[in-house]
Amino acid sequence: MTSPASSSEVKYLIESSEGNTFDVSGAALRQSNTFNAMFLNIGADGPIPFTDYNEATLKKVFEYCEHSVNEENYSGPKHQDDLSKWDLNFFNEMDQKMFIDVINASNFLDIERLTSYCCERIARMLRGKNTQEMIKVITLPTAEELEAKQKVEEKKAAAAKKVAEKAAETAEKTETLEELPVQQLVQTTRNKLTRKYLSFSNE
Amino acid sequence: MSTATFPLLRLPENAQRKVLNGFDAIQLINFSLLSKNAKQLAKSLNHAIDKICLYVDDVIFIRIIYDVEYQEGSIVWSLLPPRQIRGRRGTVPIYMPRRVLVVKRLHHGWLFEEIEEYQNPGLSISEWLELFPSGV
Repeated sequence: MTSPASSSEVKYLIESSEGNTFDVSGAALRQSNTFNAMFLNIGADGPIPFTDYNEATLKKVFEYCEHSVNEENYSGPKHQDDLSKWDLNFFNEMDQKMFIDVINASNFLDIERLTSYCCERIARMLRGKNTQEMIKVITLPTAEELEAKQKVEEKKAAAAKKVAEKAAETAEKTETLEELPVQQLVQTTRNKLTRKYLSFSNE
Repeated sequence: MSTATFPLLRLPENAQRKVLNGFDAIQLINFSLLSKNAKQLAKSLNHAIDKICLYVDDVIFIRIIYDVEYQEGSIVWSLLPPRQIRGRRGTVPIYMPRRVLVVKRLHHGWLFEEIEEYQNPGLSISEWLELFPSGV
């Protein structure tokens, strides 16, 4: 389908959760750091699967990317009052469900500008509210949701711990070998070889 | 977009942090009071404040200053005692705050910008202190 060439004319095929595919320009797609990290240098044979997100959400996200292709490099969140008419329309025409889907997709695709504008919009919505007013606006997760989240985090922590332990083990082994004086190293190796050959001869 | 309710704490953590980065100190503390998770999230931002002072008197005050050099501004949380509290003479009684009064002082003088007062949501003095960044 596409090559990793950097021309803005290059089109990439994107696959949504419904299995539908649609075109996105390379210039728009390059605003996604996730895409840059995964596909930019190696290219992709076939549609790029962003199958955790539906077509409407992905199209909305890339509509934003297409629009901001020619904007100067991103330099931190803009104040909402500085947003252009197009930006304001873009945000205002979304309902809450779409807005949340767009944040999730934008966060996954790591599109800094869009994620920041969305978050700034939420912060603005909550600005000036006390705790009681915040409680009314922010729907707190249920006990089940918190439990599920905790389980996921525990799994992640366990996996990270295993990786760290393995890395430490490897480092320790390397360190032990490096620390040994040469003569001792020779002796250790000789012992190991002797043991190996002995075990062979025993067989 | 409807703004009646918003599931902020169900967004990805990165997005939650970005939202909280748009809050000032008063809002961050208000947000921390929502739940344990909210408190953890606010603390994880590791926001730095220049100076934090604890004044212990008949009323306990927690004051943060965000620009020490120029005395740019400070926020004071006054933890008001229950109506009837008696301590021994020369001692400061330890109490569970009844109400909280928040005052924002803009400059070095006595210009107060914003005042907020609410019922203490059951936090002791030390739990109140835990809400503030520790790396100051």
